[in-house]
Amino acid sequence: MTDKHAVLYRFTPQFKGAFLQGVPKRDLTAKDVANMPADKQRDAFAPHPLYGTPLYTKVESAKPVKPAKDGDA
Amino acid sequence: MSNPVGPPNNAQLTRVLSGVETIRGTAVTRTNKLYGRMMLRRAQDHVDSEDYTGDFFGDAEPVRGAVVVDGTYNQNLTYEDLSFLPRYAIKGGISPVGDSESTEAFTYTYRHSGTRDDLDTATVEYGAPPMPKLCTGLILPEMTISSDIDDSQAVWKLAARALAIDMDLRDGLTSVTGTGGSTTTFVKSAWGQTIDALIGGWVHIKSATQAGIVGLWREILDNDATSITFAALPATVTSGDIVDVYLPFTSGIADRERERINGPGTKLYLAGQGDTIDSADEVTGRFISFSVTEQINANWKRMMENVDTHSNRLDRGRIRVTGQVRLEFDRRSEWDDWKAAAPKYIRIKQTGDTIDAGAGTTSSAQIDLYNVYWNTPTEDQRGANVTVTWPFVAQKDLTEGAPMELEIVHAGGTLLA
Repeated sequence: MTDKHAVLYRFTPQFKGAFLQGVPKRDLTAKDVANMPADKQRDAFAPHPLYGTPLYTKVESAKPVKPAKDGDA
Repeated sequence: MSNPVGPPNNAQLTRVLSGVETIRGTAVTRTNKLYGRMMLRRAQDHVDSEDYTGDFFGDAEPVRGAVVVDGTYNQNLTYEDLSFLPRYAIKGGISPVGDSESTEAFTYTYRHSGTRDDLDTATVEYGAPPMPKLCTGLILPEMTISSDIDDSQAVWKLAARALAIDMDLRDGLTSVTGTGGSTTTFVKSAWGQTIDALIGGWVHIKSATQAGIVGLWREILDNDATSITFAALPATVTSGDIVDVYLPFTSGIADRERERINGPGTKLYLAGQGDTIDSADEVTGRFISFSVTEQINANWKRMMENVDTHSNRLDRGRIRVTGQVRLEFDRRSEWDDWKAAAPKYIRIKQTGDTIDAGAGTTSSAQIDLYNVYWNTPTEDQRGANVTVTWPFVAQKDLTEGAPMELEIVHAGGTLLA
């Protein structure tokens, strides 16, 4: 069973004042990640094109949480 | 949740991402996020053909002109944004200067070069999903900074003209034929996609064996080298189905903390040309609004080899700095200066949050106009009071070597793209 409160990603701002609209400015838990739409996850976890590191860095051994799939059309 | 029909196509979702070019007109990776409204237009109209074909029909073979890319960029200003946007309007490649206090404040100073073409140019990716556009060679050849205490948005505002060398829709993956799939996946063997690079993009099913999924859109939730994953379709994707993939915006660009430059609290100083501005020069009880416009009158050239774009050679015109201030019309000093053609030194300044309490530093934005001549005033009424709007032209000051200087101070030490 997954611990919803375990930290999956560390908040690692690349510069002073870096953040992502709509995402907590702190380490992220599984619950936080599950609440993030796909595009927010991509911006949060992809390396910044200038600094080369992501805003949130995956904690070793943590399993990534994929966004929930919506229902049928 | 039922799935939305079609992609979002909402203006509120617009993003503007920028990068500073090394070679003008050659696209670079976007590294910064802009917060204003970019409205560029790529124009290339078909015109009258003037064909004489022996009948009354005037247009037999299409004729059209060259591509023109222009538009506007507008935003409510912050100290942080005003500290880098002038690199595309006034002077590129400046270096912020730190004050070495315990919490360091950095000063960004912009002054036109009288003899050098030293503008920076930007690659800009902008638009609302799923239709990001990409433009290269973006400059802001005319920029107005203004504020009005009567405006419901009582902040410093930027209104700029924008020019670019090229603007086009970003490339996507069009007419991709699948080799299999499911209700939640589209698979193409040996596709060679970068893992996770398509997340946030959109897939449009153009043709499919299962008629029930033709025309449907899905946001891409995941991808690996050979497949994309999305919310369940009402029927299965099968081999031979064809999709278009609309790519997401450049990923990983963080937001920035920003501090708005408020209108209320803005100070206007009027002094004689060459004087030193001090507190006695502040105009109080009369100052209502201001605007300052700088124009470099530049255009991208065009040569015969430029088929779908402008040239990356810049045609620079004369620099002009103009503006106006609106005041209560209750004293004669500006009138007398106008009649006498007496040059003035104008400073417009706003200060913001404390950066270092011990050093007494704050964020600030300051416009200095060194050699200002009033032009024909316009009287008006505001409530029950008579006001006067004084247009002005700021000429090159022989001592300063420029008509104006823009100085911004904040706590960030990086010149953003």
